[in-house]
Amino acid sequence: MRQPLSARGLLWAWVAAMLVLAALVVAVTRFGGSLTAFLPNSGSVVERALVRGLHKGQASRLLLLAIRGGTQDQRAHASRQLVRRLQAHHQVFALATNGGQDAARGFAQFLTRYRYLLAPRTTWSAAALRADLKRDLMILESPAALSSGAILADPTGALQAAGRPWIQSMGPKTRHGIWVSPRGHAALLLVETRQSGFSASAQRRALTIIHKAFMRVAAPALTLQIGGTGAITVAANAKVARSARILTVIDVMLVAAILFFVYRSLAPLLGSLVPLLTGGLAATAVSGLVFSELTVTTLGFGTMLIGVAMDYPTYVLLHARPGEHVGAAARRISRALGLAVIAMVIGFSTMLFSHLAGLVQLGVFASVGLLGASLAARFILPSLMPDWQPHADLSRWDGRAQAATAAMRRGRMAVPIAVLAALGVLYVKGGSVWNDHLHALSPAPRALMAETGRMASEFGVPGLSSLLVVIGPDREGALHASEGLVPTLRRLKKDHAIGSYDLAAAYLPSVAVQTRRQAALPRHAVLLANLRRAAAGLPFRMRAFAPFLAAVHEARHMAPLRPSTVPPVMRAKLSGLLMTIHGHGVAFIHLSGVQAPGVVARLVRDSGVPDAHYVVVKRAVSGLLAHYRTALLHDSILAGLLMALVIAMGLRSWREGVRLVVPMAGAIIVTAALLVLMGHGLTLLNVVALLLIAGLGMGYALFLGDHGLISERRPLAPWVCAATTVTGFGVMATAPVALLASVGLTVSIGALLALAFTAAWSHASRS
Amino acid sequence: MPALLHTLSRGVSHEVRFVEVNHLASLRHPIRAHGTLQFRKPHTLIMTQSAPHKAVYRIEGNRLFVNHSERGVPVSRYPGVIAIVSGFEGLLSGNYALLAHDFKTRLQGTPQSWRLTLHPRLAALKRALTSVMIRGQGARLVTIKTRAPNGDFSDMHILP
Repeated sequence: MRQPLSARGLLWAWVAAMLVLAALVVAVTRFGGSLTAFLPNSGSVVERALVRGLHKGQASRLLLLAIRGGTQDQRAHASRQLVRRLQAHHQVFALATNGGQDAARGFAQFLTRYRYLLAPRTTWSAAALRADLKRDLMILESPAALSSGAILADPTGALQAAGRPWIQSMGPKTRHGIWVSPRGHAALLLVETRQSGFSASAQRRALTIIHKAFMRVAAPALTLQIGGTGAITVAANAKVARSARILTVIDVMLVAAILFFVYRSLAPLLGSLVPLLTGGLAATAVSGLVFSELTVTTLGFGTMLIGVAMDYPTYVLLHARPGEHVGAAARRISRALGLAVIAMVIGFSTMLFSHLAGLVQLGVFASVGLLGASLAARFILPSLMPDWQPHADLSRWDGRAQAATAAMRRGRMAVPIAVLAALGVLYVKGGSVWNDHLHALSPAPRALMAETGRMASEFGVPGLSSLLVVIGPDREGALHASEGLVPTLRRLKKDHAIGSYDLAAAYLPSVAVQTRRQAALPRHAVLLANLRRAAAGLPFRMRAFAPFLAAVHEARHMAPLRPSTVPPVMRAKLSGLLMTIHGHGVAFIHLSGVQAPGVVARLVRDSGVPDAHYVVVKRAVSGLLAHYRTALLHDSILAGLLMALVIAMGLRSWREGVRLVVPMAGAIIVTAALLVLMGHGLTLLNVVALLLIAGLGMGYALFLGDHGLISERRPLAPWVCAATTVTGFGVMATAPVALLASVGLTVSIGALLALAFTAAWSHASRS
Repeated sequence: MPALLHTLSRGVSHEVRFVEVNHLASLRHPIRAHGTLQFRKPHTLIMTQSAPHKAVYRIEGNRLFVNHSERGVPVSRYPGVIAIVSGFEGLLSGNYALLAHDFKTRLQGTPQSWRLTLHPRLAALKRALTSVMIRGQGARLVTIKTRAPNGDFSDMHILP
């Protein structure tokens, strides 16, 4: 009487829980996508600054647009209309410009007002002014004469000097007021998104807006090409999603075929999905609650990891004896199942201690997912199909599995030999075992990356390759400190150690510098007297200088510009070069065309600027990943020991624990060696895949051997589980995305070896 | 209007001598200049000035190169130059669209003796330039008179 009631109650509770979880997913889970989630969020200020710079820096937020085809007039028209439409979306775009009049006017007003604080000038003597006036006269006698008013309002050329860094940094050439490519075949636009270029959802939104706007304004002959980090992010995500979709279909069909062969009916096939769905929903909901944004990588990769939860219903269903309730079978294997799940969760939980936001998410997602799935397999599945019976035919297959396991046992000495050989390979390959390039984790299409590189050079946008990072107590402090590097930078450029540099202080001098310039500005009477002497004998009318005298007078009493008070036109440029990160001010100096990194490093060290660091981005990021990966590896070894401990406690025997864990570890070592031999450097995600193998291997070991945990084992069960895993991940190994393929290969090889090795060292049946 | 441009772009001599008198409000006496103007399709204008200074100004696309220098400065910094470029280049290249984009145009007189007045459309240009008046006889340009809001004006005579 009690049994059916509690089963029904359980089912209702499960349905209610699923509904709550689904509601949670809808209500709180936010999906984003960011590769930099796989960069550390701890470490030194320089490291964090680097991550932040990569993630939020201006370079990553720029989208480069090129309008091609049609006539020049059509392109120009489309360019102007497009800019106007994009500027209307100011909550999405911080900047949308085609170099046209609007941008120029904003800059001009700002530069004019602050020109005497922004332009480097220290002497205002009559002699210096006279030299200026003579040059002005030359200009007035040239075809430029008609701008005489503007020239004499600024006789010393301060506006030009203040504008120089801006003009130099605003790359492409202009034709009829808009930017065009060097040969004039394309109209160019520059768009800066507010969100990170690595955030797939935000970038997809931005690209959609741009494409829609373009469709509205462009003549049919025109095409729009978009490059930049954002475009790469979106393309990469789409590529992964596309191949994941196709492969998932193939995967599901193959796995379903295997399971159908085993069960010979549809109900257990569908029932097997229940634990997986329960786990997936629980994982998504809990991760959504814990983290502000769930990255797409976590979701995709995490789903893949908890895909192994398909094993749990297999273990439960196949163990049902003729005439036995599925619930009784589940109870019978519950200790072995529990140990397998705990082992796997221990493996995944190493990710929780990493400082990579992405991996922590993955750890939480996978652990919760597996716990949920195993509970569903243990309790919900039996309630759903209490009276299901395996096909009688299966006992024959059981016998075959038994025989195969026995054959493996005879070849058990091959295992230590293979492991020793693998250790040898790993030792010899030493340095090339790991691949710590960030792009190895990135599924970005190479062609688009190359295209973006070409477009960036058309635009004159700095690439993120080498940086000087200067840290100060606040932004103003960092700005001031970075000015101390200017002599070093000049020298490096003069000696051709670097091609060029770009720093915030060129656009916005520190308050100290501005105050010094203010102090050098003469009083009105002094300036007037100097100007009179300078103009003696020259044909100028003194009244033409009135605006100049007024501007200098005003500049003497202006409040200096600070990073926090700069006008919006300036902010777009500065935000990429000067930031507040974890309470510190950080100035980034972009270096391009670095010829002599050694010299740069030495001169920066010798510059006497205390908190200045030379960073080669690729190398620094690789260093971070390597550092992190080493930590994960150490944690994994600890996890391995912990697994052995838990298994030993579960089996109440140290020897048994070691006997189960060591072959699994051997499988991991051989898998790693095989991958290295195939020329795949191991990435972080490969390490995660190896953790998965550890968990899988524990499952196989627990169900293959006779440890007194399960009465009446079904030797077939682990073979079926291994078959589905190898098939599923084998399909993934054929993915055109290198990242997916490498993980697929790792898990399929690993699962195969884990099965073989644990089978070889399993106990023969005691009965 | 397109007919005039057609005539000019085919008939006009693309190298002419000029005499220019510039009255600048900020100078006590006018500046007299002379030299040659040379137009090369599609968009290069070379102004060779013999007085008051010997100088060569080459305007190519939107950049101004002074005295064979390799580094040009953007024309946008010299609205006065834009007037010459747009007027001259627009006229001689036969590119009406270019002219109409930058200026409101008005054509008066007969094909034998015509007068074309240009008023800038763009605000940036308006601040530096009030109007450009070009007089011509058939396919020959005779004078280009340019006026600026601050009272500066210039008369350029194209010599036959």
